[in-house]
Amino acid sequence: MTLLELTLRNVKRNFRLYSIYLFSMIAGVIVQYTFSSLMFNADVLEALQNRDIFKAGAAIASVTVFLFIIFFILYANSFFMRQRKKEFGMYLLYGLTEKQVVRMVFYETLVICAASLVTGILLGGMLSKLFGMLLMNMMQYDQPVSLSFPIEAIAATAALFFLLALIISAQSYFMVNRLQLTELFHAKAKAEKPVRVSATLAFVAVLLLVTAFALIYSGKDSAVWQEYAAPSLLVATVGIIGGTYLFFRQFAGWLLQTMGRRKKYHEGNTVLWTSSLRFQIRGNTLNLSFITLFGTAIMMLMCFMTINYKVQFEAVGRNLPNDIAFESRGSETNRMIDELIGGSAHGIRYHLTHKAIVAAPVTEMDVAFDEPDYYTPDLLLVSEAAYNEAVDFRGDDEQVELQGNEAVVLSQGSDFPRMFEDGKTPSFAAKLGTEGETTFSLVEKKDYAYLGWSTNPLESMDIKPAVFVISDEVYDSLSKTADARTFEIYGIEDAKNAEELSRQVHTIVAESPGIYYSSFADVYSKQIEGSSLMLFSSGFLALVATFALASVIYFKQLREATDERLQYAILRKIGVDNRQFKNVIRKQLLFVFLPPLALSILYSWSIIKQYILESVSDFPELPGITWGIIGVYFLVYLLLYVSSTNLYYRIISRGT
Amino acid sequence: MQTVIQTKNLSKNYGTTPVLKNIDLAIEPGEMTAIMGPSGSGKSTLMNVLSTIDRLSGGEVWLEGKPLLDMKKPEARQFRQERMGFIFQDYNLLDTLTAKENILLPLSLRQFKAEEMERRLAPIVQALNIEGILAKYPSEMSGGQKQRVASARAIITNPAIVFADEPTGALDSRSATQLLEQLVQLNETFRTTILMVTHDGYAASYCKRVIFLRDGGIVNEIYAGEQSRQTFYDRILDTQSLMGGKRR
Repeated sequence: MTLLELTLRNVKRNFRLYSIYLFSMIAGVIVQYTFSSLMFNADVLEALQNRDIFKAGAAIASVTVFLFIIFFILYANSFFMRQRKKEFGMYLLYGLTEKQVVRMVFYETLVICAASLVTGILLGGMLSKLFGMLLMNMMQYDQPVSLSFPIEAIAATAALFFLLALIISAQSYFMVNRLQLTELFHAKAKAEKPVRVSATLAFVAVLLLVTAFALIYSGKDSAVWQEYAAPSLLVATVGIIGGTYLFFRQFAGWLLQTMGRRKKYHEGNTVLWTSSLRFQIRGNTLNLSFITLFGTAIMMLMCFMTINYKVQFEAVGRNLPNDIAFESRGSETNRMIDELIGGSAHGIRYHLTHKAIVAAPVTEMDVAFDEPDYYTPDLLLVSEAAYNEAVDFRGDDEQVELQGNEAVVLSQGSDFPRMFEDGKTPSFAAKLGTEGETTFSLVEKKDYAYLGWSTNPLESMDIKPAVFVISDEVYDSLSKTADARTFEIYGIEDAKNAEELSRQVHTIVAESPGIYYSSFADVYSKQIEGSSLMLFSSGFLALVATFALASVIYFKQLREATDERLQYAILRKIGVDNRQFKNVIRKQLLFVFLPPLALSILYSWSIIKQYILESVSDFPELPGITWGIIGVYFLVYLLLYVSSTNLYYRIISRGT
Repeated sequence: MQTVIQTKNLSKNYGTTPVLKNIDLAIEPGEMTAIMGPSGSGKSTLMNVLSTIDRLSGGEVWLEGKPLLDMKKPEARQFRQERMGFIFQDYNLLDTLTAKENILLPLSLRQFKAEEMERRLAPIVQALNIEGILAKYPSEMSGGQKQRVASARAIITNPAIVFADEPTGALDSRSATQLLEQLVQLNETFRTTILMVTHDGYAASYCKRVIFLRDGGIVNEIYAGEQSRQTFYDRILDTQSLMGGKRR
């Protein structure tokens, strides 16, 4: 019999085991191919405004997706190999060399890879049409995506999976070489004792978690985060990771021990479902910690990316409140630009010409702004009247009313906008030209902009002007002597698609370098495409990560149930019935499944609530979306729990 | 007291192969009986049928006066759980339970109260001399200790009968003797009815009565009566070689 024949026989005989493995592989190919075929899909590329950014982003995402696929297929393979230890041992015993066994495994891997490539690419091709349309929908493009099999995508996927086949074979090679023939003759003895637990360490676990939560819930504007951001972050991270680890190692063990000491412990089937858990703690700790943290990461990633995407449509408008705005360079160019805009497909909704006084700050800029680095070093002072006019035209209700030397800071993007109370208003001194200093009393810090980020059609946001709104009377008296700049502000129709117009206007404005120019369209398409792609890629990543998570859980149950088969056979002999088996398995698995789910939901919700949802509290639909994502995770997890209990029950019933 | 097990014309076939033929047998309360025979004689099958694990093909069996044929599956299972105890050659202790948990398990599964469990445990632990190992796991016990724990588990439910399938099969001779003496003690102290299946004459010599099985039928039956264990042992060996001689 040749090696190839032997291989084929193996596949036939171990079909059940192979089918699990094959399924993992096919799932991997589908995800990988769907993703890479979108990168090369002609229809998708045609719709995009920023193709290079898209390709770079998709490439990075597909590498990440591939890394995850490697992870979960190697995990599946190591399980698969361990199940076949005995089989390999027999080959060696009957005189095959390690090399031959490895070559046989390599053939098998190639066959499985090839089979899953064909299946996966066919299925993935169909899915890619669906996903392509989803992506276009997210980017709000009205572009149909046709079914296609780009040759580049097929080649890329095939190459990656050949690489994977090599990696798998290397893994199998190490496994076969480590195989000890003596293992064949010794039944595995369960000699280990339950892990030693200490009440102190169980308490430390709770303490760590409580500390982390106390930090998270203290809120980001509390003293700890404001003054000691880095140490707080470190403590919270250590608290969560260390707390999770100790929770599963010590707290769970302590809980079982305490249950075991209760007087009523021996009543009912508590003994049965807790006893094997005592022995599993050592093996469970890493697994369950991984599941918890991984689940947290998946949920946080998805929530963050969805919120980012949802907010993007509005956020661009807030960062760039003016469709087109630039500093005037004289009446000649202004006339040219006005004609250009008026003659374009985008009609002019309004056109304002405003003046602003230039001042040099004397007080530290961080008295007024949260992140001074984002702002120009000099200050622009706008009159209340001019500011309110612009706000009226935009249709917002952010108007101000000021007296004397009162001023409002426009700190758009600030996480801490506030009104300053009477008597506690910070004063801010600025120098105007040759005149002496003028001191303003800051009455309010607004999360709002009068002039947005300066942009250009190639790079998006660069820096933004630092603007104070001051009272008309002070403005009038200062404007007599101080330097002023003139700004032209346009509101146009269909600003989302005004990239071409913006490019033309920018060319004229940019003739004098360094001059202020800001356009909504420059940023809008980049941001929307970027955030759609990020959300889309994270969706894929979350999908593969969930596969990885599911495979960890699934193989763990498969292995444990196989180990416990003998125990259940004994129970059957002493008269335990199926109903009780099911009950015991359900309770035992619930003890394993529930804590990771509860912890990861608690972690991700707390972090997202405190640090993301709080900053975007003006979007009422976001908490609902967040819960929706958590809900989906919950359902997937519930499904895993139910199918695990069924699998467990099936395995232990088969053995008797 | 009611006869624990009574059979009439009991027979069992696997397909067309007869394994048990026309067995008439009565086990009275408090008896300690051994069923002996070479491998393939049907002694394990007999035990499986009597303990309701396997179905009979013909004849009749009464368990504590109830016809087995009238019992439905759940009923039989309940009878097995409540009225029978088992001691297996390979102990069948759960690795993840301590000795105490293993012993109490049958009561736990039947929702006994904690106090009642402790009350029943005490005299058995004393009789089997296993106080010292109650907190240990099976992996920390010797074979003899494991079998004593298994015996304790078998009798904690106050069963009508304990089936012991080659209980000394995996033990060295010292542990075997110790275990057999303790089984006798259990039989005398608690009046536990014990039915032991063995191919070992030495183990059988500790019983009051030995039934010889060959080719699925009872071929002989001897009683210890007043004779010493050693004399009884010699008689068992004689009977065995007589039967074996006929065959050869």
